[in-house]
Formats: sequence, structure tokens, C-alpha cells
Amino acid sequence: MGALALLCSVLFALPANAAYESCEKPSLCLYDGVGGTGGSLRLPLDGTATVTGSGWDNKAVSVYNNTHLWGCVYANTYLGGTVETIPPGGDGDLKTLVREVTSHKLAPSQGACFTGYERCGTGQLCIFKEPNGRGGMYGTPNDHAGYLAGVWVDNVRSVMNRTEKTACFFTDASWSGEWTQTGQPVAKAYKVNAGDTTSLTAPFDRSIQSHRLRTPDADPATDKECLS
Amino acid sequence: MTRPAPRTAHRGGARLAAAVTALSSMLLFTASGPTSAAEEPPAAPELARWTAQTADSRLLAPGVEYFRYKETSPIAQRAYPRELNVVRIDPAQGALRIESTFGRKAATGETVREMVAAMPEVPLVAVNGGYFMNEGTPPGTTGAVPETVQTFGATVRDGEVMGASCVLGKNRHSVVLQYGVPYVTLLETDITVTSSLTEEIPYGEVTQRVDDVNRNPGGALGCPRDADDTAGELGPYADAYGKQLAAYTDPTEFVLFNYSYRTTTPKPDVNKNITADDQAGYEVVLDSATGAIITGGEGRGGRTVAKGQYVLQAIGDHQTDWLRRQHQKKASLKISQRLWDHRFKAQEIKREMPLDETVDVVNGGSLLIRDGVSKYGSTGATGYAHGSCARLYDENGRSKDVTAATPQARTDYCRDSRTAVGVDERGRTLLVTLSGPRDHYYPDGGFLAEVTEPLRALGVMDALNQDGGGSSTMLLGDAARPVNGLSDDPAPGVERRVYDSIYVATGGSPVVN
Repeated sequence: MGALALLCSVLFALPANAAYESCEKPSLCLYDGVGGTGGSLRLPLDGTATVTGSGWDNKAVSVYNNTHLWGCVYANTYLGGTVETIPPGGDGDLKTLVREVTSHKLAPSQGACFTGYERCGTGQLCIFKEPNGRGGMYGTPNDHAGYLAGVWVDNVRSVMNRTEKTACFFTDASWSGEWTQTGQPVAKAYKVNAGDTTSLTAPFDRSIQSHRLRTPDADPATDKECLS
Repeated sequence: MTRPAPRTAHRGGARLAAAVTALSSMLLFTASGPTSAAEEPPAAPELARWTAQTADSRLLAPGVEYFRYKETSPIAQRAYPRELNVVRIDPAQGALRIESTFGRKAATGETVREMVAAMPEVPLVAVNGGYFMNEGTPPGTTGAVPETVQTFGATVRDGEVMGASCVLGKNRHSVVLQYGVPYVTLLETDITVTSSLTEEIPYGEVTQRVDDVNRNPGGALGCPRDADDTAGELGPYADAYGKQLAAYTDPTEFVLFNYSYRTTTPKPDVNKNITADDQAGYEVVLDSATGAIITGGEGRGGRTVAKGQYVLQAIGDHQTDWLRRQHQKKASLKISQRLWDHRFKAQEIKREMPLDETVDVVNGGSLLIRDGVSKYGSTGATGYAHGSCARLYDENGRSKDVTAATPQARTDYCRDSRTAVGVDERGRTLLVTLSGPRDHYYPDGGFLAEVTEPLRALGVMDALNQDGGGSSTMLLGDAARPVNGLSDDPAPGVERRVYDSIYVATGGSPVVN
């Protein structure tokens, strides 16, 4: 299995400043002092600068969103954990993520701060470490007979199937195993159709170790593609 | 059962378990919330002027809450208290997907119930979707032939454009259903056909604009699709319900038909009161992958679009001759479909939204709320910033003729049923109907301001008004009756056929056999 794609990081380290300065439009700027004071990190709209890896993890105290988009900041890397949102043009002290911001994005709506599925490229099957396409992501167009232990084994919490095939997930390696649930039939696979996104719930949540992609059955009344 | 697209085919297997907002500061806090759904009925949020029917509130599935409200103090003119039905969906709390469907055929209307019945898996909830118009009954057909419909406003299903956008100045927004959280925006479709010819190109024109998809050429209804369309005049044509239609005719058009149309392509004179659609024109069948012209000829209509094919119709001397000569020269015709997001039109920014299997778009009307600001929540010059209303009544309960010049008194009230889709400050989707009482077929509803008020109280940041009036429908699962009161249009208690619906279903399925 390949590694997670790592975001490039470019730090725009700026000197101490007055309130909300050094935030050229369009940029989202983080400050390590209250009210937009102290050192700052400028995250340009079209650039590659990120919080993750910039030395600014858990450092920001206030923020200025000098863009037309919504600013989204997250407690965990890769758009994970608690979310705080900043409206277009908004500035102020962080309410809940004071010295806890580790990742960010700019989004066309406030609601878009709560999903991370847009990172999944066309033709990819993407798995995520948090619900709703958030947290660490891995995308692939290929089958995987066994996930990497300690990274993805029993760690998948949501899925986007941006391929043209049916995605079939299994609880054990080598496309095997069964899920049992009181009052429910034994499940041998869990499938997500082409074009669909979904978070996972018990017993499938955090209980996947392999997957394969299959051409949908010609007969839509069956589920055989995952088991053959 | 044959599905129009694989995306909706959640087939076989057992169903997975059945199972405010302070916006006072510039910074908005939102937490990721608990990870397990409560099994007990959810507590309905309190809303001014509405009384929660707590016995009806329930969890439809993990992450899907249903709340029913009755109007606390209706005015004397209303026969019954109105109802507000709210479904709140948290995609982080359940295995869920939010999508749209046109049912079995994109060419004809179906009730929301029929669309639900056509799905292999019963969705958790479904509401009516976008605006549409009935096109007219072609000459020589009988009542057994369903009247075709056309959507107006950008409409996309599984990445395939189903209807072109209105011209941008018409305030007709759409909702994109793609990443688990609906996105309300202003969209522009851009559809073209490009010839493979490199020499002796007819008229020297390699690329032509395609005016629309899956509709009667010459007879755009509801809104103009481009600057070539006329300004629009009411009637004398009326649809099957007697409603006067505005036509935005253009006698020089290309219209594309895709596999989802599922009805024979239109022949001339579909609409007896529109002359622009009378022309014989020209029609070709294309391989959708290669663009090769498979067949075609003079005249148009009566063909079925096979899977993997398009049908392209042309009307107007110039367009007809261009297409004829492409056919004669054995050209290939490449179809291009693009979607542009104009949400940031004020900043003169537009961005392309790539089309693929993940993209559904449902058209809507008025933008209700953007970035937490209601578009209809303030008091206007007449004392009531209400928004449009087709069923306006005065204080004596008399229907008022509604025109742009009609004064709006504070005592006027509106009986338009409403359907809306919104997204709250935690990224949850809300599907809402405002209507007459569930247990009486009494048409009722309200001004748009009466929709935005409870939506804002529920923390909604962005919201779009969907088709309403007799179209407003909300079905929970395969319930025998909709949860909202139905209008008397087309008839008391009869569910209206609509173009499409927005539904919530389980996002994946166990394989048990």
C-alpha cells in the first residue's frame, strides 16, 4: 500500500506585527498573539503553504480570513478533529482551537468545512480515518489484499468510491472474513457503489482490512460481484 | 429492475441497522460531536411560533432525525394550523448518502412515491426537487402517452447534464449533491458540439453551442436559457393542470438527448401554441464515446436513445444545414458538457466543477439564506419582505391577483406550500416542508420569510427554495401518506408528478449472500 500523500509546506514566516497586518489578499493568516498580533503564518489561496509541517502546529491564537472563501481550521492533521470556521473577511481570536490548530482549508461554503471528500481524485477509491471524508486519506485505483498494520488496518471510518466499479470491503486480509451482528445476517463483504460516499457505522466502522474493485453485476438483483 | 445509473443501485443485502446555535461572533465554533447515534427519540429544537409534536419526533436511522411541528397560533383565516416537517441529516453520524433521482425516465414526471418505488432500496426520506414544466401533448397522441416535462435551471444526474441553466440574471440557484454536504450556488452549464472536420468546414464553424438537454427544441419554458431566447410571454399555452406557461422561444437551436430520456425524441409541434418548435429540422444519432454519427436524416423525432448514444436535434435553417453537412461528410461530433460555479460572481470569479459520477445537481428557485444571512428575513417597504407567492390571500380570505404591481399588505397571507434544503452550522443537511396539515388535504404554506425564520433558528447557514405549491412532498420511507399536507393541485390528496426528488439513503450495504 502506498503512503499517504504528503502536503507540501511552505512557511511564510513574518515578523511581529500590529493587528491583523501582513495578510495580503487572498490569504488566511494565523497569528500567535491575541487580536492578530505577534508572529504570523500566511496561507495563500492558491499556494502550497500549510499549517501541518510549517512549525505552526498548535500555535495559532487569532486568525484573519482575508479571502472570499470560508476559512476552516482543524485540531488534527489532514482536516481532522474539531472544526472551527471563519467567515469570508472575518477576523478574531480563536474560540475553541486556541493553540490547537494543525491543519486548514479554504471552502466555498461553511458547510464544506465539515467534509473532506473533495480531496479524492477522479478514478480513485479513497478511504479516510475520520467520518465524512476527514482525517488521513488514502486513494487508489487498485485492489488491496491487506492494509498496512498500524496505519489502515481497522482504521477506516469513511469511504468515497470515485471509480466506475463497485468497491467491496472485507473485515480480514485477502478479501475474507465475516461480520456478525445480533439480529442481522452474517455479512461477508460491505459494498459501496460507484460514485457514492459514506461514513461507516458498526460493525463495519474501524473493521476493514482489505478491498477490491469489481465490475457491477449485470443482474442488479444480486450482490455476487463482491464474492466472486 | 433496471436502474438508469449504477450509482443508485443499492441492491440486495440486508439494510444496515435501522436504526444552536450562537452565531454572534465572527468566529463560528463547531465541534465534531459524538460518534454514536442515540437510540432514543431526538429532542426537537424549540422554534418560535411552532410547537413540536414530540410524539412524532424520531430517529429514522443513525444520523437522520425527524421533527414535526404545528403552528402554535394560526391566524383566524386559516382553517387548520400549518405544519413544519424537518429532517436533519448528519453524514458523520451514519452510513448515509444524499442524492437525487428522476425516477425511471427523465422525460416524464413521476410522483415522489413512484420515484421511491423505482429504487431497489427504500430511502429513508425523499422530498420533491427542482422546478419543471410540462411541455404539452404532441399532436396525434392519446391520453395514454404521458406528457413530457422539462426541467429549468442547471440539472445534473451522475455527472450527466439533464437540463441547461437559466441565464445568470434570473436568480435561479441550484444545489450540488456531491461531498455529503449540499452546496447551494449559482451554476452555469456549458454544452457544445464540436466537429472533427478540419477542411471544408460548413460555415467555417467547428463548434456549436447546444441550447439544452432533453427538451422540446424551440420551446424553452420557465426561463430563458440564453440571450437568443425571447423574453417570454404567458400563454395562451397551459399545461396539464391549466397553469399558464411562459415560453422563451428560439427557432434556432441544438438540443441533445441522452439515455436517461427513456422516451422517443420529440417530433415537431410538441407545443401547439409555440411556432418555433414546428420545424422539421434534422436529427442524428451519435456514439457518445467516439462521436461517430451512427445514423440520421431530415426531420426529427421518434427515436429512442440507446445506452452509449446521444441524439442531437437541430432546428433553424443554419443549424439544420450545419448538422446535415456534418452527416454528409461523415464527421464525428464530440459533445462537451461543463459546469461553472458562479457563487463568487460578485468577485468576478467563476470556477469549473468537473463532472463525474459523483455529481448530482438539483435546480431550485430563490436563494433563501447565504452565509447565515436570510434573504427574506427583513421588513420591506410594504412591511413584509415575503418573497413571491402564487396563492396570496387578503385578510378576508379572498384570493388576490398577484402581479408585480400588487400591493402587499401586512394582513395578506400566503398559502404556497414550500420545500427547502439547507445546511446548518455543523454541516448537517436539513430537508424541510412548510405546508397544510398532514391529516387534511388543505393547501397551505407561507411566504419565503416564514421558511427562513425557522431555518435560521435551526442554525442554517445556506438554504435554497425548491419547487413548492402542489409539488411539495415529503415521504419518510415508503409511508402510505406523505408527512406534509398535500395541495389540492392536481386534485385533493393526489400527489403531483414532478421532475425529480432529493433523497437520503444508506451509503453502503452489507453483502450477505
